[in-house]
Amino acid sequence: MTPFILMYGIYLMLFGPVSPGGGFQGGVVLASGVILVLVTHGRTKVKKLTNHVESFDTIGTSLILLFGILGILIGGSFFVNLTPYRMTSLVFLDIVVGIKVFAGVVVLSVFFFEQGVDPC
Amino acid sequence: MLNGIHVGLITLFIGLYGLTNNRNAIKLLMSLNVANTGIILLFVSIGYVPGGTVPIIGYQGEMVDPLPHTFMLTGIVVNLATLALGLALVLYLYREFDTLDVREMWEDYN
Amino acid sequence: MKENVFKRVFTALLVVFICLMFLTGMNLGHEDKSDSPLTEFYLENYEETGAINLVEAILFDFRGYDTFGELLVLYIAIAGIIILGKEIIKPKDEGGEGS
Repeated sequence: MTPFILMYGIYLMLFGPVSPGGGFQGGVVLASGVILVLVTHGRTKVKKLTNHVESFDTIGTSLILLFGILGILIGGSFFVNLTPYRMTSLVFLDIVVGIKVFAGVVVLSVFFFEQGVDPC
Repeated sequence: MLNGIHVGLITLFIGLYGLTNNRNAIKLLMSLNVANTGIILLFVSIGYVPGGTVPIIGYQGEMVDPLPHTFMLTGIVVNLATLALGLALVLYLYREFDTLDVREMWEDYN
Repeated sequence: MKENVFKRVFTALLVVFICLMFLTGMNLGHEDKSDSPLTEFYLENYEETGAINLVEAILFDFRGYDTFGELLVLYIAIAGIIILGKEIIKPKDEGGEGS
C-alpha cells in the first residue's frame, strides 16, 4: 500500500499548478505513507531514515530563501519566474515545499511515536 | 437558514469556552484546535458561491473565491506547528511536574 | 468571591459578543458572487504566473512572502521539537537519581 501512497503524493506535488493539489498536500500525503510503515513495522526501520530527513528540512528552507534572493537580484521581486518557460518556478517551489513539509511531519510523528511507546 | 458561517461561529465559540473553562493542559490545546477549525470553516464559507466550482481555470460555471482558501491553507499549517510544539512542551512539563493541571503546576513552581 | 464576579461579567460580555458576531454573520451571507477587489485583481492577472490552479498561483506567486513566513514558522516549530526531544531523553537517565 505504501508505494501507491508515495506515488500519489509525488503526483500531487508535480501537477500542482494544473490540477488540484500542491506542495503542502503532497508533502503531507508522502508523510502519511511513512507513518504507515512506522505503525506497521515499528520504529527501528524508520529510525535510520530520520537522521537524513532532519537535514532535508534545513536544506528546503535555505533553498527557498536562496530562490527568493535570486529573484530579488534578477527580476526585482521576491518570487519571480526565472526561466522563460511557463510554470518552472512554481513546480520547483512545489517540490521544495513538499519535501520540506514531508520532513517536518515525519520528524514530528517519529518524535511523538518514540515518546509514547516507552513512557518513563 | 443555517449556513456554514453560523456553524463556524458556533464551533469557534465552543473552542473559546473550552479554552476558558479547562485546567488540563492537553484539553486547552485541543480547545485551541477546535477554535481554529471553526475559523477555517467560517472563512471558507465566506468565499463560497452557491453552485460554484473549484477555482481552476477551464471548468464550466462560476468559480468559488480562491483567496480564503489560500489564507486557510496557511492557517492549517500554522495550526499544525503550534499544536505540535505545544504538545511537546506539555510532555516536557508532565515529566517535570507529574501533573497536567495548570494551576498545580503553577503552585509547584512557586 | 472576586473570581465569581469576574466570571459573571465575562460571561455577559461573551454573550453580547456572540450576538454581535451572529448579526454580522447574517450580513456576510452569500447571496451574490463576492466581489472583493483583491480577488478581481488576481483573476485579471493570473496569466502572468502561468498556473491554471488559482490557489497555487496566489499562494506561491502573488503572496510569496506569506508562504515563506509560514514555512519559517513550521521550521522553527520542528527545530524546537528536535531540541526538546534531545532535552527530554537526556534527563530521563539522570533525573531518576538526581531529583
